[in-house]
Amino acid sequence: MFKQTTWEKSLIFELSTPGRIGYEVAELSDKEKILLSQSKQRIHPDLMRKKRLDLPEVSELSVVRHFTRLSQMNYGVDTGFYPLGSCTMKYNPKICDFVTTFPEAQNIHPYQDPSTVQGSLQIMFKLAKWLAELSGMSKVTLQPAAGAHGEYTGIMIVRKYHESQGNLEKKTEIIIPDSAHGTNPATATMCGFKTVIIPSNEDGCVDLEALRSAVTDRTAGMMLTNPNTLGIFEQNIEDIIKIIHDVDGLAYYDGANFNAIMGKVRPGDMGFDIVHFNLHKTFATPHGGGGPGAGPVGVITRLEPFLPVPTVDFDPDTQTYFFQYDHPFSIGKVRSYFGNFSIILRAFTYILRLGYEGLKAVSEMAVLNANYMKSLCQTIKGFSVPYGKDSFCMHEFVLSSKQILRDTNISALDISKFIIDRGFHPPTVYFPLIVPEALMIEPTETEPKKMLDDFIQILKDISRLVYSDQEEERNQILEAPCNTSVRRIDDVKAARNPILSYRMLKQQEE
Amino acid sequence: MKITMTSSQRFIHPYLPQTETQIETMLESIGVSTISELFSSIPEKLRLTRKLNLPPTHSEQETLSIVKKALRKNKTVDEISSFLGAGIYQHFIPTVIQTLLSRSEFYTAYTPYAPEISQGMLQALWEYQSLIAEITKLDLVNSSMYDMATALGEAALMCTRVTRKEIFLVPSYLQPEKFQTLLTYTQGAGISIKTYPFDKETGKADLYAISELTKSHKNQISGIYIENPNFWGIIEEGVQEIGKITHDLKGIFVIGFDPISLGILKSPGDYGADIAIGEGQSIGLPMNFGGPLLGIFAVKNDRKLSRAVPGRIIGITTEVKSANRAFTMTLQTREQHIRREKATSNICTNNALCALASTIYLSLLGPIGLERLAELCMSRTTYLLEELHSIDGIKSPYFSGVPFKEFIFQLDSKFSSNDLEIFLQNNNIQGGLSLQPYFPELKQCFLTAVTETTKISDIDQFTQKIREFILEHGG
Repeated sequence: MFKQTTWEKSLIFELSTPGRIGYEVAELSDKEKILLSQSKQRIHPDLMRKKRLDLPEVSELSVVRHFTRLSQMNYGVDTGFYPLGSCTMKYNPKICDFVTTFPEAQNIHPYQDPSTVQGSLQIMFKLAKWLAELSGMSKVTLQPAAGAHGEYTGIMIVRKYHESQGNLEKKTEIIIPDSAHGTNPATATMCGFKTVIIPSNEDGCVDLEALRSAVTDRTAGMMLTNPNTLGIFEQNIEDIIKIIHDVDGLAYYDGANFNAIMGKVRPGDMGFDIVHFNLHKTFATPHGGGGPGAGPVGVITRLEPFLPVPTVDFDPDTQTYFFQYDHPFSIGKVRSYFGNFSIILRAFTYILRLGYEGLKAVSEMAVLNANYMKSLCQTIKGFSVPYGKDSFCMHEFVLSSKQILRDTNISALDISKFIIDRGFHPPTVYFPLIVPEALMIEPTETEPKKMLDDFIQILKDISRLVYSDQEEERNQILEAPCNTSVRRIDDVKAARNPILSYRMLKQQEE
Repeated sequence: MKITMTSSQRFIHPYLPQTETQIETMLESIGVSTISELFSSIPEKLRLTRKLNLPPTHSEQETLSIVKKALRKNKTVDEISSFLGAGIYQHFIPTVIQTLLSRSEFYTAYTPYAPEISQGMLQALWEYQSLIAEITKLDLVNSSMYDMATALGEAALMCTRVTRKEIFLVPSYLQPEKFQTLLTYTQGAGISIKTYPFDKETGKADLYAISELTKSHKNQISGIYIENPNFWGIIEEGVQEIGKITHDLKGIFVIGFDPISLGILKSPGDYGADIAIGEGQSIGLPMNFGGPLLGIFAVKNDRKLSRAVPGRIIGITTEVKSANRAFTMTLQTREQHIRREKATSNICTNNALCALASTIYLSLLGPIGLERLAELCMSRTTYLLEELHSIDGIKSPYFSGVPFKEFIFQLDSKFSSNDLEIFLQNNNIQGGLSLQPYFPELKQCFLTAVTETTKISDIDQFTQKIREFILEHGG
């Protein structure tokens, strides 16, 4: 039975006792005190702090215990099954974390002389090569810090490309399917483009007619995931891309779903011009409870001059790796330095560990697990798969509980809360937007069959409970979760009266 | 049904748990006989038939040895006496942080979309927001951005979003990486970045130039950005005045800060900041060759500003049916998953775990620790500055402004700064960042940083080597 640990929710500030310290910073020597006061005297007193900061004063053990308790009130992949659709919450191999703790990985300053960072550069160079090979692109930048940041980089490349053609005035629109992640339209806006949304057809795929009528001379490009967010492979992909290319638009591949296709098919072969990867999805780097991730971007040969600077190159004459700043039409930089190295190192380690055969098997098993679950889930009373019912899905599928809502007034949100009570992380709910009462399920390749079966059994139990004529059985769902450290949360209150820091909390209490 | 196995169905690996029998059962349940049938929706001509040029599978032992062998080519700052800073600093990281960050309930979780099961991370991030609010004296903090450079980009976008004006004023003497990121970030919104110069004597912002610039672009300025301490390491004493100029223009005042400096310097909120951004790497994160970092983003609690903030925000609330405390993501109607093309930013994955590291760091140090740390940095910086000052052939400090934890020194034109760099490198010293490639007017100048991890003996050795260099080269 799942029962999450529940501790009293004391804030670190409430554990404070004046005079305690959790870490002692060395005291200044007499000489240092003199030097300090010399400097301080030269600063205008108006700029100096008069009163010490109101930070908590706690012992080392208090800190350790406080955050250990918090961790016990959190759920990760290491805790249990995490079928959060579109997030690829697979097992994060421990070796990948282990190597990032080496001083040779951590204690390196980005401005060190390149001769002293050849190891890091070699790792970056190789990972970029491997990602290029996996995606069918010619060159990859590792600079972007996250998936959405990769999208940003990619669409800025689209912008710069049209600018270089003297067409930026005209090329003002990015086409995005209605099933897309919110980051796609948000990215288009940040890059100064107008978003044109096209509807999906009845199969959940891009409606070619709708696409044709949306595409004009103003089309700068299109953003697409394939398989799409419904877990369905866009079979007309070549036609789609041709339509975009015919108006000199660029095709952008959102790599959120790359876990489905490794070694099977490549975005480059489909005709895409730009690809981003989520290292924290496909390449097993942990998500960190919200980040950091990494969102490398690959491009075809023609777009290499537009990549952010620097990329990493190898000089065969001197057998050394170096930073390449020679990208004549570079979009510039999208962040400081070169990328999230500790994430890059994890992905490098992961690819070594699995190798080509392993990566292919990853995608095969991810797709097998998803289809297995889909085949059994869609037969459960009250649940359906509105798109792709009779075909195979890729690495994920979207279940709808709209029938349950209609019959019993119990929502997908209620269902997700009950799933939590049984010790699982719930699927993504209410996304993609085109599926009513959506439950988006992505089992990933690392979960054993028994886990998938247990999850399917929960959905069966839910079906039985929601259709039960006994109110207390239905209430088990409506009152869930009760096995977590808190029960249902008042989000409305949180938004209506935002208390976003301890300062605000104290102001309210006064 | 007869099952034919493809080769990869037999691929055995610790990360792939399905056995052959299980695979067969599953295929049967789906109603196919091979895994490849599941990929039949991919048009045949697109399907890969050749082997990709990727490494073979390695055992854990082999993998470790390959990674170690590569990393061994790096030279760490533990092996070099490093005075590099310029945005990333070597500070000591209490061991507690790594221990707590290794709690996999934190680090193998996704963004806390299901709040009831994710209270630990939500509370930790709320405490992060609270600690940053305390040090900046600004109430509203988002739960992290990628780094300070992108935080600056987002701040510039936010200024235009709020004021609907399109000129953003920044120092000409920004870290080059940050400046380039800012230029990229502001292109899409059509924001024009204008720079103000520094005073050639003090290294501080040229107040006269700022007021002239604001006069010539009176109704177009969305905001003014200043860093304190600035990129030269110098404490900007005109911040209050610049804040007043900004507010007179009805612009947004944006401060860039070093969190450690707030142990002894006033907080941005104390001198009028509307937005404060910072790099959190110095409070609890390894340098990691430049990433991951932590972009701090704090805002004055004002309704107009709060609706325009980018990024995730955690709020404290209660359970629906009780007064028990609970934490949840809030003000989400600003964000991409709800607002889509009208969102305040596209940011989704941020740097939550880095924010957790800083939360633990600030909790450990407390008010006394942070104050003392700031004092140590400042006094040792002063020590190096003065030691260099005593050397003929070195101008130290180059600017007369008061530095916090880094400063510029200049090598006399009699000597070659290139030779000096090589000489120091041969003696295992990285003496600082050579500024001339980025700022040609700063000939033979180095930006050199000192923190509490810099030992007095390191400083003495550094200055001794510079003396030797000057002697050797006829000084």
